[in-house]
Order: sequence, then structure tokens, then C-alpha cells
Amino acid sequence: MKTRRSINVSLVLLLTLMALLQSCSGIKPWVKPYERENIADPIMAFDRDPIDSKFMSHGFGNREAAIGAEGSGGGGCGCN
Amino acid sequence: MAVIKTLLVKTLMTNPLVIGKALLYRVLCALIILGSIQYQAFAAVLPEDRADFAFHSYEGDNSEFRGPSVLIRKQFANRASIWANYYVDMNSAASVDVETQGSAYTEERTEISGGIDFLHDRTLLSLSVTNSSENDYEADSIAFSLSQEFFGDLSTLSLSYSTGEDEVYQNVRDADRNIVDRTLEGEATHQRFSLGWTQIMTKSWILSLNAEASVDEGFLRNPYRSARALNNDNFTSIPELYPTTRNSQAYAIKSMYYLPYRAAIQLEYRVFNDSWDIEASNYQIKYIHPFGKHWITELRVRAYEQTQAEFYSDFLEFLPNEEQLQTLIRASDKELGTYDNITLGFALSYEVETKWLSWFDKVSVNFAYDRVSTSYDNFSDKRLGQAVNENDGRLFPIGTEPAFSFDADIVRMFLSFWY
Repeated sequence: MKTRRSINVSLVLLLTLMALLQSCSGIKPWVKPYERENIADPIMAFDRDPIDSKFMSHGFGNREAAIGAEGSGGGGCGCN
Repeated sequence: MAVIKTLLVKTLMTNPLVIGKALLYRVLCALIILGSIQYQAFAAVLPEDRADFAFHSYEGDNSEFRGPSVLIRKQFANRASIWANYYVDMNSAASVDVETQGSAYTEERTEISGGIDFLHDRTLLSLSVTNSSENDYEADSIAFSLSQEFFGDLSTLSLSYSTGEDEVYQNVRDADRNIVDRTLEGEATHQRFSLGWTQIMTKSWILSLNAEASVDEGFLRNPYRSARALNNDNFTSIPELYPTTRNSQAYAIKSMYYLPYRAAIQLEYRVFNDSWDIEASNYQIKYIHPFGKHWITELRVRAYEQTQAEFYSDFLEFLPNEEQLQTLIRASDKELGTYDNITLGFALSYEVETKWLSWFDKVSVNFAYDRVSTSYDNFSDKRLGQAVNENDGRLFPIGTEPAFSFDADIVRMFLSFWY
């Protein structure tokens, strides 16, 4: 039941977000395309090497009870 | 929009018997809404064409995992990108669980996954499938995600849903420990629903928020592990008994900041809780610093802590009777206890001159090392209770063994090619 409630809360938040977006459609980007040199630098990527982050995420997921909200997943156990 | 709102209200008000269907309805509704929204934005981009060839090694608590992994991604007509990953774990284990509850073993796990991303204007649609196979565990999963950019690609909303089915077996071995058969212990299903928002805050700062709910049902325990029950002055091993459902939610915030010189710092914090009363949190700090044109170095610290599941105990203080064996929820699996760990790691990446590799845009050689130190609060080192001193007495009386802790070394080496 806790999860159903949490999913409902997530959906309400999503709808609120959508409503905000609808009302904010006139907003102009405050960081211009020519100002994105730093952001575009490869060192600013959250997931610079997917093959490595997938391996580490799977390893932590098998040895820790906490899962989720880290942007990757996979099957299998490998945990005996 | 009125039709969509009606559909959504119905979805919110109804109480489907099967939560999976409810999740699917909600994802579909969200996708319909997303599809109806028009914003001024710049086109999103597909992931880069890239091939990675890696080797990984994990050593800790008398267990070793080693194997290769290959990940290849290729774009088509600037509209789609497909990827495939082949991953192998060769595993030999004599960990504290294995030594006190079974016998050392070796096995292999193979994971094959693949997916496709479609780009349409500012929308990226992704579909992926995964198969993982071991001699005593089979798992299949499918995942679907959508991301949409807004405000001149300063904001990205992402939604994803995945579902998986596992078959959990127990190997049957002969007197020489050779596997001669396997028995199906049970099946499990997993569902995950996640929502993410990534925001470019300033010229040098990106912030990301993620929430994920998961539902696990079916056979959720490890068939090889057992609980200990006090029986006079000794312990008797009894099978564990887990609940058949587990619901959890996790919330994470990530921040990436470009420093005044060419370097970046990443901060990450996540909280988690589930219906088994486990509460967990972890944070991570990464510092990424390039040197010259060719080198990128990375230093990281990660800390994790969790509380125990409500039905976890290092040992039961009584021997359950026949009726209790069928009904008493119990576990002594250390991953459900109270513990914490800290990870210290570094990574080096060297970009190779591609003059002699002119058919590649970029080539890099990478090395990463992490040490994970784990300390359990209420899982005792049961090997010490089995060990004897020179007088054939127990080194520690059973039930008084000190808490278990161990260090693990994780090494990865990989070559990356962009084309």
C-alpha cells in the first residue's frame, strides 16, 4: 500500500509539473547555447563510461538492500 | 486534454487488483500527456557511437568475480541508435555465508542485453531487453523509457518502466560436488517505475532529481542461505522464510558543478526505504580533473548505511516448532542486517593519439580501482564460532562471535573507441 500511495504522489507531482510547464511555456532559456562550453565538456557527464557505471551499479545493488533512482538496472543475481 | 484528464482521474481513483497494470496505465497516461505538450526547445541528441571492451575483477570475503564485458552502440540515420552488451561473471566463492551454510563453489553468469533509442525532435524513446543466465538463476527483463527536453534543452524530464521475471533454482550436487541437476525453488517478478528531472541551473551547474518505486513479488530469498536457531548450547540451521512481496521507494539528488578551472565535482545523495522496514542512505563525492590534452583523473568517496529488515536476526533465540517453521518470517542473510560501507576509489583515462587509428574519432584507455570496506553491526562472523583453539575448545562460544567485516577490491580496465 505504501508503494501505491507513493506512485499516486509521484503522478500528482508529475501533473503539477506539467501544469507548471504549461504556464511557463514563455520562459526563455537563461543559459544561451553559446554559454554552454562548460556544460558540454565531457567531464560534466553524469555517466561518462556506461560500461563501468553499469558494472558498479549492479555490484552495489547485489550487496546492498537499497535499489533504484540511480539510472541503471539489470537482471540476474550473481549473489550466492 | 479533457479526455486525458478524465483518463488520469480514473486511473488515480481506481484500485486495480494487479499493481503492475496500474503502473502501466499510469505510464501510458503520462506518455500521452507528454506527447501533447509543445515547447520551444533545441533538438535532443542520440548517444555517441562507441564501443567499449572491459575486464572486471572483484575480490573480497574469499569470493572472486572476474570476466569480460563488451558494449557497442551505433546510430542509424540520426534517428535511432542501437546498442548491445555482452557480460560474463566467472565466480568462485567461499564467503562467510558459503563456508558456514554450504560449500565453496564456482559458477558463471552470462548477461546479454540490447536496446534501441528513437529520436524524434526533442523526445528520446528507449526500449531495452536483458537476459541473465546462471546454472541456478534465470532472469529476463524489459525496460521502456522516455525523455523530453524543454526550455531550449535546459530541462529534461524522463520516465521509465521496467519489468522482469526470475526463475530461482537450487543446484543438486553429487558426492564429488558436481552439479547433476537443479530444482526450481520459485519464481519472482520485479517492476520499477521511475521519474527524473535534470536541470541546467547555470553555465557551470547541472542538477538532477530522481524518484523510483519498485514492486517485487514471489520467491525473494536465496535458497542456499539459512537462519540459525539456538538449540540448547548449539545452533541448528533452518530454512529462511521471507515475505512474498516487497515494495520500495528511492529518491536521489545529483549535482555536477564545473569549477573555475577545468575540473568538475559531483555530489550525489540517495535515500531508500521499503516495506520490510529497511531504511538506507548513501552519498558520493567525485572529483574529476583532466591533465593536459590526454589524461582525465577521477577520485571518489562513497558511503552507504542501512538498517535491518524487521524479520532479520543474527540467530533465533529458540528452535521453532513445525507450525512456526511454516509461518514465522525469518532471515539471517547479512544483506538484510544493519551495516555500513565506505568506498574509496580512483580512475585514470588516457586519450590515445588517433593518427595511427584514423578510422576512429577518439580512443581511450581506462583503469579504475575501488576498495569497499563493509562493517556489519549485527551479523557475527560465524566461522569464528566454528573454529577451535589448541584445547579443542571453541575460539568463541556460539552466539558470541564478533561482528563480521571485510574489504573488497574492485578493478576495471577498459578500452573505448568512438567512431
